[in-house]
Amino acid sequence: MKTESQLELRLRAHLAALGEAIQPPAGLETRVLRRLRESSARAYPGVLRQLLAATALVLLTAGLAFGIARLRTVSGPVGPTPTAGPSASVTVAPSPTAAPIGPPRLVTASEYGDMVAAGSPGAEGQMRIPDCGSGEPSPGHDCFQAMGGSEALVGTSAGYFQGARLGAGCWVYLYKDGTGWHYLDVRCAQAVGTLPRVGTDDDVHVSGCANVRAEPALAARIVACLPNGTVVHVGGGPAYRDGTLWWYLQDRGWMAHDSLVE
Amino acid sequence: MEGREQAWIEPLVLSLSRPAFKLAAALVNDHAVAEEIVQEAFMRSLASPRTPRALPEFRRWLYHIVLNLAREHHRRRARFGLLPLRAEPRPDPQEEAERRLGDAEMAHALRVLSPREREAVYLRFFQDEAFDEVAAVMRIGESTARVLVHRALEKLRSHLATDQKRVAP
Repeated sequence: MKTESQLELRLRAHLAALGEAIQPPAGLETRVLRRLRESSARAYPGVLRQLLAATALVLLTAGLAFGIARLRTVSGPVGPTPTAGPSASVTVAPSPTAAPIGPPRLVTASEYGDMVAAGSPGAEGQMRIPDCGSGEPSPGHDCFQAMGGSEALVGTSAGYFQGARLGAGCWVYLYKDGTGWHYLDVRCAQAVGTLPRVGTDDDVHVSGCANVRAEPALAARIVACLPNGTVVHVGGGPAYRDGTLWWYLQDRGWMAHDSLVE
Repeated sequence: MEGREQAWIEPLVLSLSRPAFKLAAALVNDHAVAEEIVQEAFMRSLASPRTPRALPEFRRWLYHIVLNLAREHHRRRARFGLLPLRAEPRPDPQEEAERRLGDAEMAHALRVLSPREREAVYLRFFQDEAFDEVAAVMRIGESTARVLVHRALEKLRSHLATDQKRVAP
């Protein structure tokens, strides 16, 4: 058997180190399965599927021709027409199971209760701190406490509420499906620009650049790619689609949550 | 997605999501994009009636889609006129590897490979695939796969030798 050269051994060692450095995120398989469940696949049999495929091909060709012509004339960001922030209504052609995109709104009392019930345990688990309970936490005791629903918002199949831990305000992000609210993420910060909320500025946090899409969907057209550190204004959302939480960036389009958190 | 469809793909998702993610992340150097690629690859696999269902064949099919999506990502970045990565606060897997081994020269040399050469090298040495598997994933002949890897190694050898000459006193 041919032995490998020194170069190949060195290359293998380097790539093995690279492999160790790449850690798949927690919950990857769950999100993949969730997205597969949310999509409609192979719904139509036989001849009808072929007809649909042919129609899709014609539309794709026409769309490409239109897109190429438009790219030659467009000079700025392309995406939803920017009008106002949270009150802007951005409608998207819905998939068979997706809710239409609407403006965010304040939570109702019962929604807030359900969101806290679903979100607090998840946030405490992610941060590995206990719940503060009903009373005021003792000085120096790090625990999580929901801070009321005055700034909690519900978007499209998603929402967030405010909490706090020792030394920092926190925001708990959730998505909603037919079975209720589910925890997604918690971010705590002392400085602006490290987590997204409707009506605030935030920074893009990414290695390379972060995609901005015309709609909150992984298959949506990419209209820009913003480098790390770009200051953006969160004008709408949140929306939950394709297993991903999305935020509408004023005058730009939709960006995934992971690219807007530190 | 109906229960019947989930029945065959769910074990494949559980067994292949992570290795597919590692391959995607190595190719695009961005974990968020890598996850998008993995999700999209499984979506396309489920949507296509030609997707094989047995694990070895499905794996090749999935990795082929991952390679295509990674190429699409690089083409989009080039279209938007982006410069190569500068120092980022989020840990960069390449930089992590360099820190662990101190092989910045190899990391730099890999960047001079063409996209196809890099794919062949990663499949061969990162995923540790035999040449017939490399060929099956890339949908090329086995001899072509060997030529790609050989050419890539020659480029790396030449680049590293040039680097060594530069640093010699």
